[in-house]
Amino acid sequence: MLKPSKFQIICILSSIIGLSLVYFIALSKKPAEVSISEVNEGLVGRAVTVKGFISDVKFHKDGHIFLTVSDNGTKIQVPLFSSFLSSTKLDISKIKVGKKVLVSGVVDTYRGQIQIIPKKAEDFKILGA
Amino acid sequence: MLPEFLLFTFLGSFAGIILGLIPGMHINNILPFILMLSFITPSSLAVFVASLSISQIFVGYISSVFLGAPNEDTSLSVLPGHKLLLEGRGYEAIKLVVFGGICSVLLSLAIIAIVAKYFVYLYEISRPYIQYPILLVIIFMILSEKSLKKILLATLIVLSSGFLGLVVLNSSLVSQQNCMFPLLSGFFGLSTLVISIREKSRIPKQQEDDKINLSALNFLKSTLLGSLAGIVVGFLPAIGVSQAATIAQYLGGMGDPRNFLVTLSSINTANEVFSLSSLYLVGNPRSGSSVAISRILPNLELEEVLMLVGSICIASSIASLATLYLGKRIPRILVKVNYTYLSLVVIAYMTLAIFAFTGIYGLLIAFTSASIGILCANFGVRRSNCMGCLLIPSLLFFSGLSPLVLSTLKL
Repeated sequence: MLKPSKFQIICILSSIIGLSLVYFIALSKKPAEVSISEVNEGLVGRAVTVKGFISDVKFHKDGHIFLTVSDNGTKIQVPLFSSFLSSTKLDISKIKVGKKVLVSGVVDTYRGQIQIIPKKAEDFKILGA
Repeated sequence: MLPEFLLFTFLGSFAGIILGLIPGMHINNILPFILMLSFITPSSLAVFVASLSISQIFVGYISSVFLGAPNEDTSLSVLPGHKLLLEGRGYEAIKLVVFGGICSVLLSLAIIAIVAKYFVYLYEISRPYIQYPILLVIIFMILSEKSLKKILLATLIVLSSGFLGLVVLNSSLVSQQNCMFPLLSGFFGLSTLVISIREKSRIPKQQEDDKINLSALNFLKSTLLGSLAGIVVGFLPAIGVSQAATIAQYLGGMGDPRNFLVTLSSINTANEVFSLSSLYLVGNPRSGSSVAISRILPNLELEEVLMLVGSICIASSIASLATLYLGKRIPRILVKVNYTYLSLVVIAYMTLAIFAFTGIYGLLIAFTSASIGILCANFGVRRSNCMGCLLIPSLLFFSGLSPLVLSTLKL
């Protein structure tokens, strides 16, 4: 049997190697793509990617845009805050009802509704009509 | 109608008992297959799912306490359960979780009936302040170590676990539905087994008396706190059973293994009861089984809710009896087995199960979390510090720091 000190060193090394591997592999992977119907309160606080069609667009006076993204009859709210829009230089004219979009972000709830909040430019992609 | 209801309650209970006995298995792993059983009427299928989900929670403690092979709901019972097992009190551990669970079913139903209409407001009111109790728990957890050296080591464990949890919960390394399985199995299950092998632990002859070394007042306190915490978990997204149990452990003074087992079991059952009830009360499914029931019965009526509640009560009773029976019989076999070989077999089984459900990345996560879990024993700090894997991501989420930290880490 290994002496405790050697065993401890092995544990420390395997922890460091494991943490590094998990982190660097995770960097190369986008958040898990799930269907909109799978996004429920159980996923709040976790990062996901969903694909769907814009079914409603609401422009707020403070510069925010509130989207409803739908797929197979299920809907999810996607708020694009003014800070996100200005930092990403997104072409707002392309945000229209019927456009297919790919949204990544952390799942949250607001007034009982599930929403995904994109934070970086690559978190919100317009895929086409 | 009644014979069909009883038949599917019994079938669900039986399936739950079998599922609970398989180490590492969780109802979420088999729900897609259950949803394919379209030849069964929707109400009977919903009764089957509700009975299965509650009974597998009860029986799941058997493999957690006796084999150190938990599923994601029972992972925190490994440490206190194992401690009692090595003291020859494994059957008492089982009795504690069974009695805690069964009392919690009744208590949580009563609490839900009284405060059901306020749940939406409770969430809105409490949401801005949730980060404070989480932060307090982390601080208590670290400072409860006895020396400065151990406090520093515990901080290192909490931060490493938190980092691992943050990466796993915010990446697509493994599916989000299964990501807790390798993480918690590594921290609490696999690490316990490796330490047992290293320390050449042996299961002593188990005492089968009916004695429970917990006062009635402490039992009641743990059940009440657990039931309340289980319901709170139900309406607070991003707080799970394990986080709630850790909060109860540190802020509610439930650190003693017996108190903790009752509290954890109460949280688990109350959370399941609330998840099913909330489908009708708030319309939001929370647990895997409630998502399945919401798909089977999209427009849930009060009559159907009462039917599900009835099936939960019957299934809990059946599962309790089965768990107590098995909890007495299984150790008689285990004491005859070489525990080191048994631990090796369970490690091999858990490794296969983790690989089957979460692939090679799941194995990497389990390997890393097990290494950190074993380090706790090496450093002489509590393994509950590994709960940083869920507490740190929750703290960042509720304090609004999650986006900043995730973008800094480029996740």
